[in-house]
Amino acid sequence: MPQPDQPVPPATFWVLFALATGDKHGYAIMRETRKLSDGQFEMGPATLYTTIQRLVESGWIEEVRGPEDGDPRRRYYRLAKPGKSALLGEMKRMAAVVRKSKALRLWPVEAKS
Amino acid sequence: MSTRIYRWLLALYPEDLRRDYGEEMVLVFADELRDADFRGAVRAWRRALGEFFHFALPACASSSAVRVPAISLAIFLCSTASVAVVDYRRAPNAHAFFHALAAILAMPLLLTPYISLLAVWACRGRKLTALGLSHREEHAPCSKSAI
Repeated sequence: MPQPDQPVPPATFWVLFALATGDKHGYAIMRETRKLSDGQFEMGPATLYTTIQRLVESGWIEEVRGPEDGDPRRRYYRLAKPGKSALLGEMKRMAAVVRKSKALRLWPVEAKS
Repeated sequence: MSTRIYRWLLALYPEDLRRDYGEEMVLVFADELRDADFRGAVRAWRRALGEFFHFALPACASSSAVRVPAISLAIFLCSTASVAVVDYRRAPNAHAFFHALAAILAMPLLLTPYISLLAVWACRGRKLTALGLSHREEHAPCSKSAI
């Protein structure tokens, strides 16, 4: 069972991130993940649905009714409150790492515009 | 065709995943192939095979119904190959050479479909003919690996 205050694995993070932009079915989550990560993170159907299965079981995401004109074979998923806190927690951890790396001058110098 | 092969591979995935999300996994894979160019399709297949080795094989290998006959077959093939090699060393003629070569080269080729069939048999609750997906079957829950 994942804990909201613990770091989350990459697949979990990207699925939560993809759902933060709205309710989606599996393939839409996959496409959104690719888009949000600029193609840096890709996953196949098994990784996607194993992650979805765990997140549904832990209550981080929930199944919702899809649009009336949608494909009835596809289930839609929505980010639930615990999932949102886990996502925000992970983003805060990432931001802290970036801050720390900048303070240590490990971060590449940003180009001045 | 690709979707059909993926559906066959899916038969070896953990039962709870297949039961709850199998049809959607096939749909997603079909969507991926539909929207991809040739390179994208190759990437999709590479990912699918990677996942197959990551998720499906460990789940099936934990089943003694697969492990025991697979080990027996491996021992049988290894012994056949070693006998053939010994024969060749005693009498290094063309017949013995090709016997040894065939035994060594054929080993993985023979082993793979046999193990796959056994795995399908074990994972499908002895329903070799029913490789289609069903949401209504009652299955014992399988352990899930962490993502």
